[in-house]
Amino acid sequence: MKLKSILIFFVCTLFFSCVEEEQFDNSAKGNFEALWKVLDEHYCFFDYKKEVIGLDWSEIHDKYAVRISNNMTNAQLFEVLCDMLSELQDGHVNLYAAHDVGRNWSWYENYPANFSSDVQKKYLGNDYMIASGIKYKILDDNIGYIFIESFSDGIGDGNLSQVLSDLAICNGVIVDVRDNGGGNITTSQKVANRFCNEKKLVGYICHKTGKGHSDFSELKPMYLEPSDGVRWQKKAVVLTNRQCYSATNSFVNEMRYCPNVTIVGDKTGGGSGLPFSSELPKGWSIRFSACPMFDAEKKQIEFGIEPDNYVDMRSEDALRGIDTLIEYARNMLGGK
Amino acid sequence: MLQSKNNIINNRKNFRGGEHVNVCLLLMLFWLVHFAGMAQDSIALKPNKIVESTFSAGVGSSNVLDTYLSPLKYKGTELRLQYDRFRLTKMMGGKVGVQYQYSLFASNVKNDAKTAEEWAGMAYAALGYFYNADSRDVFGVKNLSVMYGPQAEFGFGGVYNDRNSNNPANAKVYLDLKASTMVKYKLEILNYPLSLSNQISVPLVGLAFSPEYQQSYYEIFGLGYYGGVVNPTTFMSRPSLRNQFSVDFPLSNSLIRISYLFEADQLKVNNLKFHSYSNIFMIGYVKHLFRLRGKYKN
Repeated sequence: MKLKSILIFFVCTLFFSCVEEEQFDNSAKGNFEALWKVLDEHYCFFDYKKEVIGLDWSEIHDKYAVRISNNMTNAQLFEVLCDMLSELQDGHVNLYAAHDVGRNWSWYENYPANFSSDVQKKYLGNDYMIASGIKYKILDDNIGYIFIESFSDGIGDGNLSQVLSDLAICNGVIVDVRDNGGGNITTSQKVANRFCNEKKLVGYICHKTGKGHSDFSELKPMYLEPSDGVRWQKKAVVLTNRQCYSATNSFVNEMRYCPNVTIVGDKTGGGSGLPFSSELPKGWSIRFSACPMFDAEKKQIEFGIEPDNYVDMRSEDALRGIDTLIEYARNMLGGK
Repeated sequence: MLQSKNNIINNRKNFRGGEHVNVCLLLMLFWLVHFAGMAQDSIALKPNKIVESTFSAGVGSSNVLDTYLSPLKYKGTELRLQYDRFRLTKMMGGKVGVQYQYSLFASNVKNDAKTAEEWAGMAYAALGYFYNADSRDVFGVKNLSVMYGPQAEFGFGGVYNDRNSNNPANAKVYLDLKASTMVKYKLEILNYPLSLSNQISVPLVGLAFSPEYQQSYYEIFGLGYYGGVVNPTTFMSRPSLRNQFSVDFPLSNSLIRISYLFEADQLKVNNLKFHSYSNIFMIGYVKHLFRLRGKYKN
């Protein structure tokens, strides 16, 4: 009987099943179908964008499938795939091939820049300080100016304490995140934690739990936690433009819930979906929004955050080397 | 204190010719289902005194699919180290053996287009108790030993993809309760003693770590939302298999083991799919040790 049991065990292993995923062939059609399926099963804003911009992903398939032929070149295929992806109107959706990067940058390309690095240089001069990617100085009216051009650099707690200590004598501080396209969300939170004095609900996050367009986990709250280091207690103005995207969009969302903080400039670019990556049989990499984030009222911020005070850069100011937004902020902070 | 002892060579006179047909049929059955395995020197070992330990190293092919990282299969090379230790105990009149197995392996795999790489690495420790069901009366075969029993295995590791954004890696942690079987047969070819062995292990139930379908590690570790990451598993959601077929043979004053290992490590939870298929050829050094200290001292 014992040996029979063992033989049964062996035979049972014959029914051992393989865990496999559907594989597409490396033809133009195979890559098209693979891309459509990756997004169909993983992209997180289908329901929202159907409601806002009328996006229907099944219709998109039929619209672009007729443009696919197995005789097309890589460049032609890439162009059609990028056209299809542009329907999502999402800066976090990119197709990476050896020869090009497919992108949709309409979230800032179709809007005023509201930032000029040449004009900004006149404010920074040559004597500004740099702390782990943060450029800062005290303007001549005793207003602190902090320019964070990216959240990709690791900004340490020591850096932030030093920057805020150096600016402690100022009447107020300008935090300029214009043209900051994002980076690490943990870094942006670390900066925002310097502007709150109590635990503060600033938003929610969730993730897909299945392949369906509506398969999401419950919303999980996200909080700002006051830093143990130096925290800013005076007025602050955050300068924004359309290029504030992704982690910077989150930063602006967090800062608007902080006391004494005013958002000035243009609407941010958005990008509230934490991006994931996947790939096609051709080896091209695809990035897409995977985990949506919301504000504290559970509203979408995928298409940007409105400022408290809309201010555009005036061209006549720019010609004179004046940054309209910085000057507006200085006035608000009582510097001029 | 342990002293080495090589007893296979001394047991040549115990081998008998003939009666191999039944055994070959049995082994063919194993091979048909990709069985390979390892077995232990259970017949010749004296209860609770002799320990067989084997250190093996191997290289082979690896096929990795982790849909948290990519829908594509990655293929490449795997390196593996393995240490086995087996002895009979006093339990049930010396019919129960205990096996400790430790393994460490790493693989470098690429997608078919060779545009991206993944590195996978795992380590596991397994403890198994095996009942020695001597089959000679049933099969009419001498020198055949069949053992079976439960095995507990804890493993951890991960897979890293070199170009992903917020899903660059996926951790693997599991605790499996497995069923395992060993078969060993000794034979002699032209007066040269060989020992064939086969071990198969299959997880039945357990626990496995896995993020939810599209849950970011930022949510898990950055925000502390751990719900749903520890999943109970059964042989349905974790249809895995490890087979090792080995041949032990004396070489000079040493006992050498060459093995073929097939492992299918699979997991299907949270709408995510993972597999890692390994085909490894290994070579090892077998030592038989005498236990002289501790509570087992006679």
